[in-house]
Amino acid sequence: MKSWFVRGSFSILLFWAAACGETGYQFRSFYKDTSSLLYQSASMKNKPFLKAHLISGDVIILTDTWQVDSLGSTVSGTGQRFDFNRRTRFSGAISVPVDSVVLFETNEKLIGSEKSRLTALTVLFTAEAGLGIFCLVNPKACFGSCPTFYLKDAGSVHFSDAEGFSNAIAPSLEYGDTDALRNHVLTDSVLTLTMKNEALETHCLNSVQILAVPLKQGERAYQTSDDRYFLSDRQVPLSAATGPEGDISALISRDDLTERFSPADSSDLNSREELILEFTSTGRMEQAAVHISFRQTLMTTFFIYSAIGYMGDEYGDLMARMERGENLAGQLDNGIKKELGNIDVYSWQEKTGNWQLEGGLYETGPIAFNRQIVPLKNPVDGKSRIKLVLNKGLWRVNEVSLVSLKGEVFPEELQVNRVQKNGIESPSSLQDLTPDKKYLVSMPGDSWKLSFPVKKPGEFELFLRTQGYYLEWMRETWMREKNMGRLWQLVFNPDGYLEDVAEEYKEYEKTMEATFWNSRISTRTVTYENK
Amino acid sequence: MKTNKGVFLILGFLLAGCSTPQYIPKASEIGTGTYGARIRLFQSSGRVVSGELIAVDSSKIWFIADQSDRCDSVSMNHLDGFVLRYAKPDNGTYGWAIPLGLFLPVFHGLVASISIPVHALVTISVSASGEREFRFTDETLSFSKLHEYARFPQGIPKGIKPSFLLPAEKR
Repeated sequence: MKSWFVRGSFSILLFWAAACGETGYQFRSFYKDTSSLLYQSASMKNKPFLKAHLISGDVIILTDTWQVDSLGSTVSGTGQRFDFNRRTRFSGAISVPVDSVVLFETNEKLIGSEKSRLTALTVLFTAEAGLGIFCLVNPKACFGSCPTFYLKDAGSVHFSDAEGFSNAIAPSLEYGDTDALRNHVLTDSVLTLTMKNEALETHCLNSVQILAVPLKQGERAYQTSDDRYFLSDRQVPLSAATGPEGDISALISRDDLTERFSPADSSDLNSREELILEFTSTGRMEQAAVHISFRQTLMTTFFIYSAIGYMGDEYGDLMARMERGENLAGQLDNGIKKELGNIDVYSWQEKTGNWQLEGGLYETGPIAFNRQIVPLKNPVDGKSRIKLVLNKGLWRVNEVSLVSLKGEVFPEELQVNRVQKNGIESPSSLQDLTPDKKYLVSMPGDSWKLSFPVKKPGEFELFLRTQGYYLEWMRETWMREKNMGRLWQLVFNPDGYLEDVAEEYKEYEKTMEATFWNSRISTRTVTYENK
Repeated sequence: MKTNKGVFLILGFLLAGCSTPQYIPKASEIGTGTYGARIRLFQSSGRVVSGELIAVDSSKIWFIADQSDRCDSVSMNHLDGFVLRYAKPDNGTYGWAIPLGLFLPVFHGLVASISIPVHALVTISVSASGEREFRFTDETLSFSKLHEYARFPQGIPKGIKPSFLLPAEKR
């Protein structure tokens, strides 16, 4: 992937340079007499075709067999004669008196960049075909999941502001998911959100709302894992942070998309690591909370895709059994999810000399950042130490800060009042989003514009609440991975499963993470919708 | 969708650029071409005309404009510059490679966010390179050498009125 990227970049530079320059050189020569013609053409590597421009306006083109007689008065050879409008007058053996010629012309072979252009395209298409084959054989590395949401128009998946209900891979697993969209100043009477299906999945959206908390200057609002909302008027940045690898404060002190993550353990995917954080607050915080901006690596995507692969050709049957009431969802929740664990937040208690568990955060999904808080049980004054305990290789931490809470707030709910599908008004889709049993169904490539009326302008902390589920499309290549034993191990013995698949995952992690994260570039792109 | 429009604009631009007149020889046939090069003349008035370069004399440039049946002239004094195309790449400019990028997401998934821009940049650059190849401008070729790329490098022959001259496509 990297070498392909380097080659591609090199090709761009090469041809950008070529494209920006005019290629001009002297390849054409003229002669007024036969002696200069003979003298100068003799030094050419290959004998050129000869063009004789006649006084009459006709032109004669002789192939490289042309000759000048010993007197220098006649040029003869095989070729064609054309009139002044370049209609062919004669083809074959031609002899032309030199005194009827006003100019002789020869042309050297043109040297173009066609060969190198063809080489660049060959390299490009070979790389693209290779990538295509890689993605078809290894779709877990290339295809994401869940509906993605954008506040700004049509960004790439890497700029997704939220992803909906990532855990709901079947109707019975449907749940409501709330994602922070951060603070925004709304000046228009309408807030528009783009929802996309950028994966090979069927998305079924039951409802969607924007939750808005009005803010005064300097205020922010944060969400807890149990969907409570708190106003904050003070944020304290990190003063120090260390992980097993050393100082990580530069990675997690700002909400700047620079993240801290670690590779999974090579012998057991269920293994913990600790991050120690320090904050220095000026003044006492009666009610403080740890605010974390985070998302997952592609580890859970691997588990979801693997589980579907293990089901093989019984995928449909097993999903149907789950829908009929067999509590696979509960098993998964209490199984592998429990083993993987939360990002647990501990605070250091000076009085007792112990770490006190304050709570934990868990959100599935590798694309959009989650921004949530864990309220602390005790007030904070001056220096404080926080410990995060998390599964190795599962989490990407973008920012951690300490915030002072002013009190609980209850956001306004903005209901969608207009839906456009792929740029076309869709009143029936709007109906599907009303509170009933209907669903808005979004297929791969679909792009939706959802409009929400804003009652009054101002600054708001926005949250997106979505409810629904999605159906992952079975890929033919996954059928070969059928392994019911592994599936039952994943469901009923997740601890053993996480140990057994560690080696396999580490191979996958190498290619998948590199493939996915190499594509994190600051550019917008077209998506399926542009097919 | 903005990107989409941009891609189609570029495509349109390149396809327009690809409509090289038939009378311009392929690079490998430069020795057997019988017509003048295609010239684009930028006049002081802001007017731009393109067509086959017929001849150059001491004060005028003679040409048959595209879509015209008539040999016309422009005074050298009223010219700001020119672009001259004397050959075309043997296998075209590979502009056809550009739209293939629109179908890549189907196979590349999330990686399409990088493969599409790379594809677009490489293919557009390759195509643009082909478009710019075999050209001279007034910066790379002096006016005194311009006549060498005309249908009549010696000037319009005596006895031939400009009105006798036909465009390449109507000969």
